[in-house]
Amino acid sequence: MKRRDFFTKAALAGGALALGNSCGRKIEKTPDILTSVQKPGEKVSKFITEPARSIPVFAETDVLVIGGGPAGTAAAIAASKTGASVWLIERYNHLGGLWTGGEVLPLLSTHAIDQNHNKKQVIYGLGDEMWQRLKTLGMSIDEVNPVIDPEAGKFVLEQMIIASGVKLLYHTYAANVIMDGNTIKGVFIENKSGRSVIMAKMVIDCSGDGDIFHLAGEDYENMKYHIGLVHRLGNVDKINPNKPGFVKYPIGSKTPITGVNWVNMHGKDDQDGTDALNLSNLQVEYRQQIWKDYQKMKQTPGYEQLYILDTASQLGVRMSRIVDADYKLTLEDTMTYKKFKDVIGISGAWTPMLYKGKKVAVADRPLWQIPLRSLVPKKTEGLLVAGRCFCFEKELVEDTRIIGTCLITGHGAGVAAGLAIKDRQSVRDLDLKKLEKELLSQNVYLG
Amino acid sequence: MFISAKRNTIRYFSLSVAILLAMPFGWGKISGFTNWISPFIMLNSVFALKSLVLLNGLGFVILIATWFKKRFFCRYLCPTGCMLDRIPKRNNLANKHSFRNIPLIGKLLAISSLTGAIFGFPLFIFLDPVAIFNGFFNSLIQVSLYSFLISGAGFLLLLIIQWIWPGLWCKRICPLGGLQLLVWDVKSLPKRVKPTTGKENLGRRLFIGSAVGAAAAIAYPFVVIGKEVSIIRPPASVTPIDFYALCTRCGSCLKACPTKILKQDTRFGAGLLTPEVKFENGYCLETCNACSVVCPSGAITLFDVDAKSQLIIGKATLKTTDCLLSFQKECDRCKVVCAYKAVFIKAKDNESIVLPEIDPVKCVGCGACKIVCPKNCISIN
Repeated sequence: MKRRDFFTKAALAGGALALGNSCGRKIEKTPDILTSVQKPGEKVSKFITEPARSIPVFAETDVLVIGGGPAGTAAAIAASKTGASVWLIERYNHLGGLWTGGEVLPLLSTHAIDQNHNKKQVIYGLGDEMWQRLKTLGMSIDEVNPVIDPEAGKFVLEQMIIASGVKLLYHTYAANVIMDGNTIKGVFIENKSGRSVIMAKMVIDCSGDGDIFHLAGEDYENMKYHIGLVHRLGNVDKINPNKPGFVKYPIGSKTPITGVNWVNMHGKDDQDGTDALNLSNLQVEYRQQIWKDYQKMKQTPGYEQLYILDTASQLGVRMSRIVDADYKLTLEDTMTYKKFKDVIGISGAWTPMLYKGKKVAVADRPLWQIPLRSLVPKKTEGLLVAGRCFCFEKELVEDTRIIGTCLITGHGAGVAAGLAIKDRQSVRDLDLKKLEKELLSQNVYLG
Repeated sequence: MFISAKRNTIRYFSLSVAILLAMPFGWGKISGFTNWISPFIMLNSVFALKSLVLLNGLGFVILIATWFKKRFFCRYLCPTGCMLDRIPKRNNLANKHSFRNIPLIGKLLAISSLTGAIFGFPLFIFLDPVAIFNGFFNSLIQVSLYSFLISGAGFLLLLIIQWIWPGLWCKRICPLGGLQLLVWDVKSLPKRVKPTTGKENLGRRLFIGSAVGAAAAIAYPFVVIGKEVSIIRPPASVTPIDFYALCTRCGSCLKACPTKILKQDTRFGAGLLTPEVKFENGYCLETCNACSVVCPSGAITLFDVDAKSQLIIGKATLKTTDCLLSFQKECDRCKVVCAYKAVFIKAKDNESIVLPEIDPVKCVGCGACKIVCPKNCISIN
């Protein structure tokens, strides 16, 4: 081999090696260092066995609705309109749940865009009736996403319950379920009179936290979300911004009553809404904080006459359990005008979202259908889920947890339960034509 | 010039494939695939970045083919050449003067570009005919006449040249053609056969070309430094200075981007026609690496989707004066849409009002929070 050849070959080999070494320019992920330390789960070490006892049957009914929030109230009235006998139990002393007692006053997502790109009202049926009654009382402001007065709301909802013939039981907690295999037969309730039983052919879980499907052994996901506490301020119209030393503080949003504002609270993120101790601690912390802020404001010139009207009687748990139902409503469904054969209602939108990497502004958000299957839990027979805990993708939570959607799912669940009892069949086998007819006769908007 | 029917069939077939892939139809990761078969882009990229990706193999195959068949790419594959040949050679404007005396600029361009590439600055990578061809199709999605003209300028210029001096580009200027001729020259060297054109001295040409290339590459950073405009580039882009040099302006990334956040920079300067990220209605999807897959020159480095949390596009900054939360209204959009968990909503010390905060370490500047914010409180820079 000549010297020159040798050099050439060596250079070539070196070059090839260098190329080979740098082959695959691809950037790959370097593994993250684990930073978060998992909290050890608090273990209960002590147990006591409750002795067996006979529990009196308080009532036997066609439909039992657990929880008297927007969903529960709508469900109870809707079921009784189909001719079923209905019992409604509620743990507080009022109807309307977070809408009234929680002082989350806006009835959100009343409107959305239809396929012709027209903005239109989608919340009809019982929700609309409540809204119109409140309007007549002068206790609702704004034509889109109206804000109501909580006391008027409690009054109107109660009025409608009285008129419908639904039997109402306040101050009562659902303590456990009575199961026969995978069929729910009734619910143990607990109140001042002690423990008793309501036997029912159909149970509608409108507890918001999904207490019933949790007790029935249904699969679910417990979503951690922010929890707040709403309060109302009085005399906001008497704040004097012209006083020297005035500082502008946020004082919430208008309500139908002049001089009264409702103040929303974002609260702490990632809270477990089903942990009683946590809820209690948050309640205390938030009320202390509200008063601290209020006192600071009151000392500021211009705010002398401001007062706290009330803090909400219910803690604002925005989200907790999400049931595993026959159908999981997806973000795609709500963005593409997806049509369901078993549609039970249509809801709207109130907040911008991202879909496939693009922004969908509120003004462009389509109306979306809710199928009955997303209210039917997978395992348990005789149970329907309505309100914020029905089955949907987490991305959808802003639209599913709000009052408007709860009214719609409640109404649909009530009608479905009533019809199932009438026809003596499972909700899964419901005649969808009949369901549609009944919903339309109850003024529900189905597109 | 006679072109056999068989060769014509191949040429038109590859032209139609190239047009199809260059059209802004939302092809995703195969947008502008033809760029990958250009050996000129491939060599410049490999020399400049001193590294390879799998698809560079295509360019190598073509390069090897030119060893066996003179000007293989021009003969069979080049979509630009095929298009230019469609222009009638006997038109009113066609210059009667022959350009036979004009030297083979293409070879010089190729040599200086490749030498420059070794020093980090591939001088004439943007003159690659395939890149020019692909770049033209971006003009079809432009909104204004100005941006249409700017975007399609390269190819329109070639058409004008062809109209006045038919064949001048292909035979004399095209650096891809020059590169192929170089390969042929190298092949004929040991055999002592006549090189491509008799008058030329390959050694001198090589020397001048590489001297120009090396000098330009060394001088280049000093010329550009300080003149950079702050532009948001796609993820995993090379440094701003290198980006000017490496980007072929083929526009494949623009076509591949599923959310259409990449726009051409139409300001005159070093960055003309390079891709710029503009968050108007879309954001950089956490599940996408399309721009890095299609980039033929490695200006956008190929990356794994998993690595996206480590690739910084920009940083989000927040002005909370208009934030809904500062008015105690319900909103958590920025936090919810953040795929990198960089947004927190919390109270500052001794304050009860909660406001969003952006973790500058975790934020990659994907723009999701910016576009979703109902009050436009967030900007990316």
